[in-house]
Amino acid sequence: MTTRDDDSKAGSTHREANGDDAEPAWDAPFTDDELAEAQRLRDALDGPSEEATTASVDEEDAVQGAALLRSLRAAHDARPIDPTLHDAIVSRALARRTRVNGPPRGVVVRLGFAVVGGLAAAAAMVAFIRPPSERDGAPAAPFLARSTESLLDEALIGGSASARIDRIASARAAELRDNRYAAWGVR
Amino acid sequence: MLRPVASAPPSSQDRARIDAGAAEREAVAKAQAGDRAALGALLSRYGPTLYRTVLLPRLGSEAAARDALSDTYAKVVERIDKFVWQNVGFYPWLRTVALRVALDQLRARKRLVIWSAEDVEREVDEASSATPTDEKLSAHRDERAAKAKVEAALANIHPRYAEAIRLRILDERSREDVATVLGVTPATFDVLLHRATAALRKAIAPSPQMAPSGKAEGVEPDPQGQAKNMASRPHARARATKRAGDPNDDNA
Repeated sequence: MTTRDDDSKAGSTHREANGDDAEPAWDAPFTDDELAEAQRLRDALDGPSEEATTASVDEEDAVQGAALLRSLRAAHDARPIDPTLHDAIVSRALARRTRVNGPPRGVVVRLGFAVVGGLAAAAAMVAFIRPPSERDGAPAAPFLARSTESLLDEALIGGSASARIDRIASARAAELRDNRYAAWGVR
Repeated sequence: MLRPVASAPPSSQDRARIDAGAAEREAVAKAQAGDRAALGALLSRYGPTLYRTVLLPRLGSEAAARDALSDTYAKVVERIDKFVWQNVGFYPWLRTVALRVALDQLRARKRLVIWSAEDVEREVDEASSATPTDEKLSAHRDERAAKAKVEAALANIHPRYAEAIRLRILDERSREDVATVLGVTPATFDVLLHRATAALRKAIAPSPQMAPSGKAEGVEPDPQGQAKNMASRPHARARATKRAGDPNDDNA
């Protein structure tokens, strides 16, 4: 290990060799600013290894320095990639392979719409065009037109014509309603 | 009268290499025909080497290297149809693709790393023109080149600075340990490392040749840093004297 005196001389020699009088010697007394910058560098090194994206102006210098030092380490002793991460990267690439080699996207989209549209049309046909006998519930046969004789069970009594007509009208209205319901397939 | 010389039968090692080459050629043909499993096997086989010896050393960060690996695979997927088999196998082509991806990233990145874009550009040119080599030899050369790069960078700064960086960063020793080895206080070591880093940045930054944009390539303007350096010197002794009497200062 070199002594401090040797290092001072070496420091001066190094400066002169580089022709660089602007940089302080390695052992020159440091300032409060340098101390603050050194602390920021230390924080950046101790912090997350991924580059900070929200560094302030003061921290940016430290982040740059830490990144440079880490790049030294990465070059000197590169660590292998985590196998799980690597498998995920490979899987993503292979998934892309499927998309890259598949049919053009526009054709796929149009084909998809065509298939869905065809299925929808088929469903509509099945739902609305099938015979009433296949619909849910008991078959509803329409009422056939018939004589009103059955509604006239009682003998014609004087003064009961209006009531009778009302009964007939009511029955016929009900039958008309039922016939319509039957035609519509509504229970 | 000349007699024909019978060629020696291939050794077991040669035979194994020939078989491995044939198997890989078949795998590549299958991958080019659309066999995902074959392509996945190729990427799984060579990807870790590519990451560790080509991408991570040149890009300097694990996140950047992972992104580059992902981009490399994407390009391989797109262009594998264009690959023409040569007897050195699949790895050299894969390596060239990875180098190009690394070059693009270095050109786009703002961070200063030990490998410059110009360095990688030279490597891409060499990869295209030189005789390709198999994975093992290529990886060994890449590792050696990376270590040589580190040593060359450290040789360009003061030995004391280089020692500080070597102990703290390359050997990954704690700050307190390194301070003890160097015979300084931990706070003094922090400043030493800061100065070492500044010296290293200055040493590896490319010379400010003007780009067409008029700005120096690869050099981040640092007017604040230079101003601080210039300003610190006249007051250094005064502040040091002031600090010496402070009982709370662990530099004393």
